[in-house]
Amino acid sequence: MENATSPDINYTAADYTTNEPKWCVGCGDYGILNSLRNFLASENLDPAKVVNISGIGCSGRTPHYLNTYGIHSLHGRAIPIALGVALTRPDLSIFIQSGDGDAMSIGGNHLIYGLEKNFNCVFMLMDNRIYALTKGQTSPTSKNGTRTTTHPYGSHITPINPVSFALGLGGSFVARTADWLPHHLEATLRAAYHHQGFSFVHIAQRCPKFSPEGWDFKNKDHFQFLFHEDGIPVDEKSGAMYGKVVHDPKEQLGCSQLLASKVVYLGLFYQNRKKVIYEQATHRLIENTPGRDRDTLFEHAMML
Amino acid sequence: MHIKNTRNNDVRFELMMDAGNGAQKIGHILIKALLEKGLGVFSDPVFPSEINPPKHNSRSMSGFILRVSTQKRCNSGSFTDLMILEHELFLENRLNERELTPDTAIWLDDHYQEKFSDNFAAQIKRAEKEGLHVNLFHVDNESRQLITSLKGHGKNLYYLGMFCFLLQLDLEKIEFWVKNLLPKLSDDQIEINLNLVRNGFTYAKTLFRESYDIPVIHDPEPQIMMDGNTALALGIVDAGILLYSGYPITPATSIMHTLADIFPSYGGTVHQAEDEISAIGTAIGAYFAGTPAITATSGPGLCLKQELIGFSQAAEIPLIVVDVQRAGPSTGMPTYTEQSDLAAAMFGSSGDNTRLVISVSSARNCFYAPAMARYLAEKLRMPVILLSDSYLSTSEQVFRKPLLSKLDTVTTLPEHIFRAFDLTPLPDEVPMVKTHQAIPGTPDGMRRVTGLNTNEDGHVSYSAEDNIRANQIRNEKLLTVKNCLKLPRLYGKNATEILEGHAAGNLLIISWGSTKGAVREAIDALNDAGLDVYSMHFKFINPLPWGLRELFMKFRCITTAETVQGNSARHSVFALLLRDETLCDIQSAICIPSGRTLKPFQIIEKAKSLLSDVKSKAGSR
Repeated sequence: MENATSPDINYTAADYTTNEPKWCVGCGDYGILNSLRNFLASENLDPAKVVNISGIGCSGRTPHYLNTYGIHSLHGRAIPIALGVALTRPDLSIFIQSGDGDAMSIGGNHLIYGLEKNFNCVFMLMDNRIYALTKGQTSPTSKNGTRTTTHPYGSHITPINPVSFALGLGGSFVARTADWLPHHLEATLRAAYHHQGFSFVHIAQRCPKFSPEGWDFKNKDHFQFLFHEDGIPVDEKSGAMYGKVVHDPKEQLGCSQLLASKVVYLGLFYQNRKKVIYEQATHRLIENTPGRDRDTLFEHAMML
Repeated sequence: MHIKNTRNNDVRFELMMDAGNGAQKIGHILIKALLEKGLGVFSDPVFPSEINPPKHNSRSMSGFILRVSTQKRCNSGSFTDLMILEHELFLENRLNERELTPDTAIWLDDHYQEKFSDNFAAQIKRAEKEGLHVNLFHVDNESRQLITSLKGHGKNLYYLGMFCFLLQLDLEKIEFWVKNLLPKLSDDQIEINLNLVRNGFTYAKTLFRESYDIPVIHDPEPQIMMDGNTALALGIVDAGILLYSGYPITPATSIMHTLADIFPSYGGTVHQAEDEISAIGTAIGAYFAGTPAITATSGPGLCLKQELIGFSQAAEIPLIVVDVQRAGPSTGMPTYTEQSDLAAAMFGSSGDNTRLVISVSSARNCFYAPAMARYLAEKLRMPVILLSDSYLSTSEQVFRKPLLSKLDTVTTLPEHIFRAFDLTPLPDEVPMVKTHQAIPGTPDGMRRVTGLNTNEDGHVSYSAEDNIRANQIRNEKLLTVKNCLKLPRLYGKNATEILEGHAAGNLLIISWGSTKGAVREAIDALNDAGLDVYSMHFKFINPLPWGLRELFMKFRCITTAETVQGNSARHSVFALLLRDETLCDIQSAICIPSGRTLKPFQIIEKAKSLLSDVKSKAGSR
């Protein structure tokens, strides 16, 4: 997006901090929030030109903890509201915080059209594989067999893979990272921010309270980094945790193989820099239409 | 010959044809020519709910009701004087509507007489049983051949020729409009079409022998003709709104069509969203970021938008929602009119609802409404629901060219907008729940809005004190508007005497929305007959002005007149609101949920019956 870089002031993470979060102890959202603050500072973004927009759920609280403009909206509705901002204020940088229930269930229709319209924003899907704020119901990404308050004998609904979802709908930037990899997370946000269009970032997020087995993050074989010069850099500390595999984010076909594997890949799956950006096309239409003065308004009606 | 009064001030014509046969086009040509002549025209187009239904089918009826008069009229009247019907199934449809009288000249094309002889005869028989007389006519041989050469098209032009004779329209001028409105046809095709018009004209001369001589209006002011949705679209541009965000729904969609066409040249954007919820969400996002935005929908869409309307109220983000009402509940009758979304508009979302609800009464009023809605939404930072309806959205009316406002900001409004809505300017400062309301980009103005309850700093608060405070302030916003509202005009012959306290009135008819024209016409007729009847028309539904009880107490009988369900066992929502406001016995005695607008005669009949009740009560006292 590269909209809001401030020339005069050097911001630190503290400049993006309001009150301290009230998530559960051990919640992965703390890590995501910290990485986001660090990222904003590293890019020196003017807090007055950043808008964080969320829906409902644990992820929905994020804007309250960031000293920028923010909208903590309704369940599932962050995307259309963000589009209203993007469409009318291309000078602002937009970050959307959503969850697996918020984005993939109640707001699923909006996610389809966010990806399709490809408006400029960083979309953060904070996926803890459970409805946590309402106390442990099955979410669209809950693993088969997960015991939840709505499926106490184990969920029997095949989970949605958000990365498949975004790739299938032609997302122009599709990446995955995890709350326990602060540097990789920050690097992913950076790549997402510098991409023009709807940057879809799937963030594996731990919920020790309701979904302690949601992400098997200690299992070295369970995760692997996608590695490429056009991809997301893997820092030393993260790199020590899991293995690497080369994947060119220009290659859409290679993604299906990655998605068929049991390994959870982290990094940039796909990037398309040529997809039409909705608000840019909209503004072009205005620019290319000869302007009229409102004195001529009644010419559109039957004048007598 | 069945034209009784050749010189007439007010005549209603109808043409009904199969959808796709060009009746709407003929309507537009006639309107242009009639307006050019200086006549008052009110057009109520009739559309089928289906797009391209099979021909010779009762569901394929498409056409227009055209009221041509010396005065400008604001409704389509009660009864038809002359109608031309393509086939007998439409006779059946129109008989069911009960808008025909023994004086109606019914002309039925005999084209299907042989093929469907049984039903053809049966419908004519039914009409005769109801005291009506049906005349048959035909398309002449030469014209039939011309129509064959046009692959079945062109019957509408023949009918146009018949109307030209009946309405004394100059054929040369008609030729101009035919060419103008059929731009895609080749010169040869145009010539055949014009021959059909001429043939229809010549045939009509032998058929009708006499025509209608309607005296023209002499209004030196420039006139304009529009339907309500076009007026709303143009009003949105005039009000300086820059984003229209919508989802297709009948009958609101034509606002989006007009704007899609013209908005970019005025710097505006039309956004077609993936659903109704998304449409309103995008409007809210834009307004939060400081750009005036609007969304429009119809009843089912209003239901879907309710959660975000509530959000706009809690987060104090300005919002304008237009609801072009159609007949409900649920899918109801999408192409028919009703005023039944009032409860949803007033009370549709969770928690205590504070929204401003305003309504529009005419196409002219539609043009001014977006400016008023924007003023209220931005001054009070709360949702404004603007209620129009299907009848207003499609019927085209002539009115004096409105004044342009060309707004960029709405710190205040031009006087004519205030006047159109019986409002005086609001105070400069209106208390807000959140004292701090900067838009993004404002340095050091960073703030977070939320649907959660907040304190005055905008921070989430679950304290009893802060929740009571927020509720109070939201309600004070409504009170602020109430304090600035004037009583709507009391209409009726002796209105001044009533207002000055010298007399009491027998009957007061209260209306809102598109029924104003029909109610006023009924009042005029009743007053002319020496009956003591008045009307009052409301643009603001929520809040209502002060002083209603004092005024209502001066009347022996009060009723609302609406196109909704309502009776003495279950009052209409509007009557409930007025009863609550005034503690007066307001009836719902003129409430008809027919899907059609109220006809002046329906109001007159009911009013007479109410007046006789008033008299008998007075007598028994």
